[in-house]
Amino acid sequence: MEAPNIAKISAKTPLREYPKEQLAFFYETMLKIRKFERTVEERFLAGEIPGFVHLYIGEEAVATGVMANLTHKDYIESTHRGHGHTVAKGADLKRMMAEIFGKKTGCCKGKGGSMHIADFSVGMLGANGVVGGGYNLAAGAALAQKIQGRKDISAVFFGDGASNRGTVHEAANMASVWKLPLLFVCEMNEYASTTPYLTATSVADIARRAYGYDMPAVIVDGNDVFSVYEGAKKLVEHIRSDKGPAFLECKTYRVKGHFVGDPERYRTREEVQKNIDERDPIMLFEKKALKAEVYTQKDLDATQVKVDAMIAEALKYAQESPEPDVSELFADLYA
Amino acid sequence: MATTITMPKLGLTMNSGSVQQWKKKIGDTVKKGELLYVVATDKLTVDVESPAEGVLLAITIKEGQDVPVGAPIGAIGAPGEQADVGKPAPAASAPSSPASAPVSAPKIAGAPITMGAVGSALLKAASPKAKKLARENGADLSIIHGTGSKGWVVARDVLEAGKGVVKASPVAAKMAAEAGLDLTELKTDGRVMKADVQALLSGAEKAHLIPMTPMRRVIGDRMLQSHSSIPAVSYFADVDMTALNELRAFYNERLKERGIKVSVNDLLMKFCAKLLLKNPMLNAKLADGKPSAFILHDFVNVGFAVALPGGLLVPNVKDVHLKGVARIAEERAELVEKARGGGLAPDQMTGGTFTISNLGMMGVGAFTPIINPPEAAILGVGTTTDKPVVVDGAVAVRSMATFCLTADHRLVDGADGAAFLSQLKELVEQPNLFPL
Amino acid sequence: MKNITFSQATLEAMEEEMNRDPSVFVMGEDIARQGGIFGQFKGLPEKFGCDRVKDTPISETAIIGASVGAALAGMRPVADMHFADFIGVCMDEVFNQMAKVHYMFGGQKSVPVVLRAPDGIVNQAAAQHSQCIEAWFAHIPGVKVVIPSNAADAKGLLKSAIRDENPVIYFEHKGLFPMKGDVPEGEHLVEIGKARIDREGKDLTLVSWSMMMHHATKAADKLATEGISVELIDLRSISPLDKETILASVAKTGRLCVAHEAVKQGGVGGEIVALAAEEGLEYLDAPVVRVGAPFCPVPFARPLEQAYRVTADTIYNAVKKIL
Repeated sequence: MEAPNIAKISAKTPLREYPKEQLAFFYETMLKIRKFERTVEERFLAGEIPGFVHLYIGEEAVATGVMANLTHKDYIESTHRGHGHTVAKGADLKRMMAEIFGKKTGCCKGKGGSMHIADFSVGMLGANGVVGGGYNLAAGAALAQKIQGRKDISAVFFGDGASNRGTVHEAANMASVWKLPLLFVCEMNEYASTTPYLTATSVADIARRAYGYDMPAVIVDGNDVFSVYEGAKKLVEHIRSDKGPAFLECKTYRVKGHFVGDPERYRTREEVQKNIDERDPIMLFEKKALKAEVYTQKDLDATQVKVDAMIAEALKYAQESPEPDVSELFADLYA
Repeated sequence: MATTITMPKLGLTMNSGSVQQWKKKIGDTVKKGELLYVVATDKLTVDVESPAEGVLLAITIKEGQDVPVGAPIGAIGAPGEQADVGKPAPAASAPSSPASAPVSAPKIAGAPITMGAVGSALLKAASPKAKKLARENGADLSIIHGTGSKGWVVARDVLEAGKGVVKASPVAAKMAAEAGLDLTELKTDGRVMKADVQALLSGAEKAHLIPMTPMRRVIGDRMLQSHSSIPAVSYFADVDMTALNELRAFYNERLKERGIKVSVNDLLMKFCAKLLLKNPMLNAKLADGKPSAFILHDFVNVGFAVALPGGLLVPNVKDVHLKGVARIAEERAELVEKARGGGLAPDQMTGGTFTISNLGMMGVGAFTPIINPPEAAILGVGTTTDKPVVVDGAVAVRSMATFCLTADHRLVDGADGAAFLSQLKELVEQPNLFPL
Repeated sequence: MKNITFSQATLEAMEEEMNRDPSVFVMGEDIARQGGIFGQFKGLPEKFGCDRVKDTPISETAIIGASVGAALAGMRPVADMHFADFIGVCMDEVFNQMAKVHYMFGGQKSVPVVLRAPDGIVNQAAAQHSQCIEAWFAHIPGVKVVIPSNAADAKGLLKSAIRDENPVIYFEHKGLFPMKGDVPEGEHLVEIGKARIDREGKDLTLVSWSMMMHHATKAADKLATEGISVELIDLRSISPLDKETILASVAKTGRLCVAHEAVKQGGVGGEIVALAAEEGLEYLDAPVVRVGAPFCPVPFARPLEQAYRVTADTIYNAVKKIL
């Protein structure tokens, strides 16, 4: 049964019609996220990074495709799996990496860490350690944008697991009633922590729930950055024209465990490998770009080298940065 | 099974103690309740009874060795029984677990209560504020009636009790409480001290009880401290006082117009000052009162006793080595006057480095004075009388006095003490030598 | 001075602050069309429009969450909780989001949100509409908690709360809304974190707040007729706690009683007497005493509710035991 509010969108625009900068943003951003996450994973396993780390590997196209429609004046609310959103929103990689390392030079001065990363200077209003904690904050940010008469919008990212929090209902209803400029971005990555989504979720397409809030919804292949971009573009245009909130469901796959160190007993290696082999968003981009001849292998390699240097610089910065002084314990407790 | 004897906890604040004396030897039979040993803490000494009956099997610490509360110190058991008292007692500074050694609660001989008054005062329900007030004013909470909530002694009770002047030292309060004495009967103009209570307890009829004045108590404390802690040696010499008396008469004639009267003591002070700089060990003091280091003074402040009704004071003339006899006499006279009028400043009674006690006026032949701590020595001067003495092989009559030098043997060896005294004798008998 | 009700005092505060700063807006259930269930918002929509005085869905989680989000986007929201009891449905938004954001994001953005939380027993409203829950929030670093007892403080504290860069939970006892009091003319601010010595005394320090201040006043009056001089402190701010004023008073009187309407167990009274024990033990000349509600939900039936209530007599009797 199809819900009448849902459109399933696949990228239509030929790659040749994309501006060069747009393509470069796609590829470079996805690579930045991938290499950033690989470095974090490596350094976490080496014992350099404390706390919990949840990786965004395999889902890079979602953050990238959505963020390509946003500016720094638009806000996002992210999740505990928030590095990708933060990178794609344009946060400084050095200060991000330093934050994950718990360093004084981190974007949150070492007070937040991986799960509580934020960069207000680029409109990234924070990752959230509480699953489903971001909806209402995003609704509030959208409310402020509306009251202030701005044309900017807010977006909230959440997974299929968070789609089962009650908070989404209050936010969606309020956003719809007040026609708030809010984009709900569901990253359907198949696992809520360790629980396969269908064992815990009433619908196969979470976008169907948007119908209950009279919200337009789009379902895209979350591993195809072009589809994500085009799906999001349609909804963002709707939102910017003051027509109220919208819902984007991106079908993707969480290649890594819930957290670094997850024994992953709930799925097979084969399942994971199949997704990597067939659906890796970066591999898909490269294939399409080469086929459409918008990129040569040399172009791709050059981007790889460029991004490698950025990540190496960020890592060095984080490793060499000082830890916060204990005198900063009470700093920023109150404004 | 043998009973381990452990260092008892005598009062809440005791952390460690030493056995001052064992009253039994290993192998002696002891009865339960019989006096077994004497414990010394930093505050008090307590007779402790045997916690068990049997034979004293072992003594595991030396007398005087400080060990933590609860540490095993010995064992009592059946004859021939093997005493298992564990490891040797650690030094008090190394904390030991009291749990590792069962503490057999000892009974303090002759005392109906094992917990001292200090402890019971702490256990007595009193408000924190009342406790603080009591502590600051030396009041004994255990004897103050509480009128606060739940019978607490509260601040107003302490203040009310204070009106009846029941300031007491903790030891006095403990002793009084153990004996069931009412401290209010022991009114003094100062704090009730241990000695006050002891006097009361020693059978002195209350009606005749005359509390000591603070001055007497200070004298008592200092003399006891001196007498019980200083290994003092006394040296005697008979000294011909003829020349000294002539010198004195000469000075007094010269100083008559200035109204200055020089005494024998003034001259002796001056002579001693000269000789003390030459014999510095007699002008020294022990650092911290312990024989581990000493301080040599490069000045001489000579104290002298001024008898007063009910006591005496010992002011001292400062820098005697720098002053002339006339000045010494003037200052001495002023100090005597002040002492009698109660106007001595504290610094005029402290800082002495040597003392001369002269009982010549009283007709005393000779006496051994007690060192005035922290000084190293004291000179006692007896009365001057005409005596037949042998001079150049013939009996002659001379004005003689007996000098007694008492010195702290920790600082002054026999030869040094003797040397000083003989130099003094020489100088007194031939004052012409002084400038040499 | 003007003599106005507590409710009018809060209305004045809202009006003045909304006039002063266009980023201030208020949202909650039944506040625009109805004017608030206690009339505390009457007239505001007419003056400021329904965009700045917003009726919300019955979605407390969204009200607080959106207030936090709006604050992050530069607004100064005032969120009305209808009944303080309902904060329970959105505690994550209060203590994991609102209280944490400024600190855990390294001070990137302050969260100037005011939660207005009408609390306390009134008219047999029973278990879910009568509670005093200020103690919950005293345990949360990152939020401030204020709790006025009279019209003047209601105005001064609300204005200060709105201007504060930090989240402030503003408890307003439902029974206080119709009570009149003198309020200074013109600008009137009350410093957050500063208690008020309501009356000076020498025998006992009695700390109270909110509605209980009125019971405490009666108890102090009765004690005064017996020659007992009570120093009565209106705490006004639960967090930060004005330790100095409390300790200075206890140092003077030697006795401490804390009286609050909230359940005694785990109440703020425990924090205050612990403060005296930790930092002022030697000032104390009597056991400390807490007066609070019994450890049970607020009952409905009249005799039960009456038995549950802390009154002037409860305070008087408790105080008598430590004199």
